[in-house]
Amino acid sequence: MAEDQEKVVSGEEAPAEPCPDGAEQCACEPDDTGRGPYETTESPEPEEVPSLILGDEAEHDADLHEQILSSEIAWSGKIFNVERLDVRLPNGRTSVRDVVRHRGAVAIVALTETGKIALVRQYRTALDRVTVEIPAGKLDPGEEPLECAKRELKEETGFVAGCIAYLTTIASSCGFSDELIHIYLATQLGFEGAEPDEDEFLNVDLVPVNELVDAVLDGKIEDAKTVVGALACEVMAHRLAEE
Amino acid sequence: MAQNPLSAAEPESPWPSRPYIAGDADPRDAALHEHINGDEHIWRGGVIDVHNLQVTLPDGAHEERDVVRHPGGVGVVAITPQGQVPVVRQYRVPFDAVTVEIPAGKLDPGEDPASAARRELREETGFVADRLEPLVSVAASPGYTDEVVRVYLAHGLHFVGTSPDADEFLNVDMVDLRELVLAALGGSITDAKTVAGVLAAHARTTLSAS
Repeated sequence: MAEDQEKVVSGEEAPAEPCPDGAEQCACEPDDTGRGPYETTESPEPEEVPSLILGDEAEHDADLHEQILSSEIAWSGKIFNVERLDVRLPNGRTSVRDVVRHRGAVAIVALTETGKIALVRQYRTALDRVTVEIPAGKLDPGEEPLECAKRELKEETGFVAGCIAYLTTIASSCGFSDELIHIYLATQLGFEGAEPDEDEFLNVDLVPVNELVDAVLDGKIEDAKTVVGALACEVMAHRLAEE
Repeated sequence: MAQNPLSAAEPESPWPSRPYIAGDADPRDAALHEHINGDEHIWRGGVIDVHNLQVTLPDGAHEERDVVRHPGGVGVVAITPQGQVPVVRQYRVPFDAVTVEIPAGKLDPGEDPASAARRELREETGFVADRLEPLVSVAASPGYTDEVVRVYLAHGLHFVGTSPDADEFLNVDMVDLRELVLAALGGSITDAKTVAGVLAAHARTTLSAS
């Protein structure tokens, strides 16, 4: 590694010797970026050297960046805008990128005491069909995701959760949209009556979680947040069973 | 379709306990449909278009829906015998950041998804696969876009060399699937098709092993 190349993450100087696993950036070195709750703090076993380096933390990620030269709102709508950006590519050429700017949304995995998940059936104009999804909704201006999750759960299913916890966030389509969907887990459900919006027509089913997972793996579910919510339950259940 | 023995409502709610029934397969679904009266192509972009659909709601009211039309895409979770997965590092302008994602790309007009998956895998990572099978499909955000990404599982990988597009800049890393699963659950990887793909691949391999 060249002397003048610094480690992007921690600002330390490049190690004198190349990393034994040959990586451009030594993944064995600790860094001080905040990691999620699943990260361990012990040193990894020799045969389990971490190989995942997160985006913008690898030495050559900077070379992949496009430079944003200018931007303008090309189209403005009720739930999203389209921004048109002029960018300079790594090879020096310029290009145009269209980006959907979206306020963001939340989704809720609501589990009953008997292991069933609340699923919403609704017609989706974009797909021209009825879908089966976990309860979800767009953030109101200035609304906190957790509050939105509680609100949408109550409005769509009538459930109020005794316990609601943040699971994860997904970027629904990072190629052209900045929409983030924050997924929550709701348990200890009490029923207080649904209040769907004026233009919202939906039915609610309670389905055993394992049936939902089977449907996902059979290709029957297509909604991203529902796929992720169901599979996250599956993985968590297996991990709990192993302990 | 077998009757769910637990057909009575859960004691805590009036909603029915039911087996999983796909969208539009339930007789009640028809009553949820909106009727599309008009479709106006109101903005054209390089990849995406915006349409404004005029609809009649189930209660007879009129509404307008803005929809982003997208050609659709494919993604590939390719797994080596050692359990490693090639992931792609690329800049994503909506987030002004480099992301870690499974190899993926848009469908060319009229292109078969499985062929597109093989093409993208080869172009981006240099791998060809002996076996390719459907893993999971993800509709990115059905509330406003019709984008669907079909994710495939690939085994039996052979390296033949990459050929990225002229304006495509990316690096490839090999990462253990289990690390990707932890990153997906922990939220340090957020790309929806990648999260869905690695969790599905993990569930598929875990289920087949048990």
